[in-house]
Amino acid sequence: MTKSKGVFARLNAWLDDEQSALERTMEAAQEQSAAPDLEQRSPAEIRWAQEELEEERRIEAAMAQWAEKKAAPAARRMYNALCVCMCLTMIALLLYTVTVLPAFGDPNHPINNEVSARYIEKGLQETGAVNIVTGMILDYRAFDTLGESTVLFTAAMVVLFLLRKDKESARYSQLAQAMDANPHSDTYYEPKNDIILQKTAVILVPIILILGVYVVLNGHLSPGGGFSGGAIMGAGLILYVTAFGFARMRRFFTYKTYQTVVLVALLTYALSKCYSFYTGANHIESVIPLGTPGAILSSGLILVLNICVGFIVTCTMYCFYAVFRKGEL
Amino acid sequence: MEWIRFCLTAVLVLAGLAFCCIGVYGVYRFKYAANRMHAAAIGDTLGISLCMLGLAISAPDLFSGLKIVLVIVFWWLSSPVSSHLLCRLEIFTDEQRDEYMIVHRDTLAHEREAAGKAAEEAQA
Repeated sequence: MTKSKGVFARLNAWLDDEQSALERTMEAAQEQSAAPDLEQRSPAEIRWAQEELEEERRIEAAMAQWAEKKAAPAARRMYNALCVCMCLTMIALLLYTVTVLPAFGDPNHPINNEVSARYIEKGLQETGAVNIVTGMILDYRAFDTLGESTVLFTAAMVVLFLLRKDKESARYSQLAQAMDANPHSDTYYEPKNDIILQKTAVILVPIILILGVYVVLNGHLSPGGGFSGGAIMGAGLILYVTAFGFARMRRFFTYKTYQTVVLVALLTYALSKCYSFYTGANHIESVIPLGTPGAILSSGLILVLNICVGFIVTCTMYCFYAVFRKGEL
Repeated sequence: MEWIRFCLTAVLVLAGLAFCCIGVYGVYRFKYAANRMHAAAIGDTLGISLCMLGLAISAPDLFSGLKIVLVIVFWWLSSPVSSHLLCRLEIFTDEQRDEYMIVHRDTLAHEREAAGKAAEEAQA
């Protein structure tokens, strides 16, 4: 018996009709004290002690029976009832909170302040993006989006550090040794070269990739942008690699490609944002034209930034899939 | 016209939801993976496509309706392929498979051969 059990482990043990710690210690003490004393006593005392012991055993058995038949089901019922009560209380509290919230579209809503009013009134004029959301995340709050891209990049880097297999990793990691010794142990049963999947992928992958490109390039005109388009393109790459295997993928996408693309995209993003921060902070007129709103080449830097974010998200999604599945790109 | 559209949409969406419910019930009712996939496929194909068709009918213009039809086509392409892959894996890995179904020995031989070939290719 381990001493340090959590509250829930103890509760479950109690619910599963295990004896309590107090009962166990009492029982053990009784057994210890009862046995050796018998020899030094008079026959009457021994008989008396034996009777007492039997009585105690009988009571104990009755107690155990009672606990088994009555107390444990009662405890379980109480536990269930308390669970239901707790859930109902939470539901009631949350529903009450919902009723107190301001109505949808309420003009007195606290978020309807001058900030959003300004975004809606001046957004198109200042950013040149028809899609206000893109104008916000890639112009007014572009620094935040740079941070998000960097978070993605950092996460991919860390996953690569931890999981990527190279020549050295067998020296440090038992997992890598096991994978080297038995290279197909966990992918042996996976369907490979499946003709149905391959034929479907031939149809779907180009469409998915083109849709991703469309979503990225039209980020400033319609719902979408770098993150969603990048996710679509990453899904296309994952479908391709599932259908045709890593060997064919490596013909055009290796670790080096990944590094180059992501690094160039992040640097382009950072440099173009540096430029617009510099001009904005010093009240210099930016030389990048905003173009006519609604045209594909408009809204200044937003198109470039969208493309950068799209590349980063695509590569990161594929990188995660490849590293988690195989340990290398 | 507007009323006919609304009624058609309502009937189709409700029918789709009913098929989804049947699918969910089947997933819990059946015990074996392949049977469950069969039940889930009802919700995946018929249920969702009926819902989508209802939405396409009530779409404000032709173009958005066609987009929804595209979603149905995509769904019908992807869902059977994924269940095919699942079933292949199930046939090849389940050790108690013989209790539930009979697999033709040619299929098994083909599976083994394909897996062996792939393993050799990857090793080379």
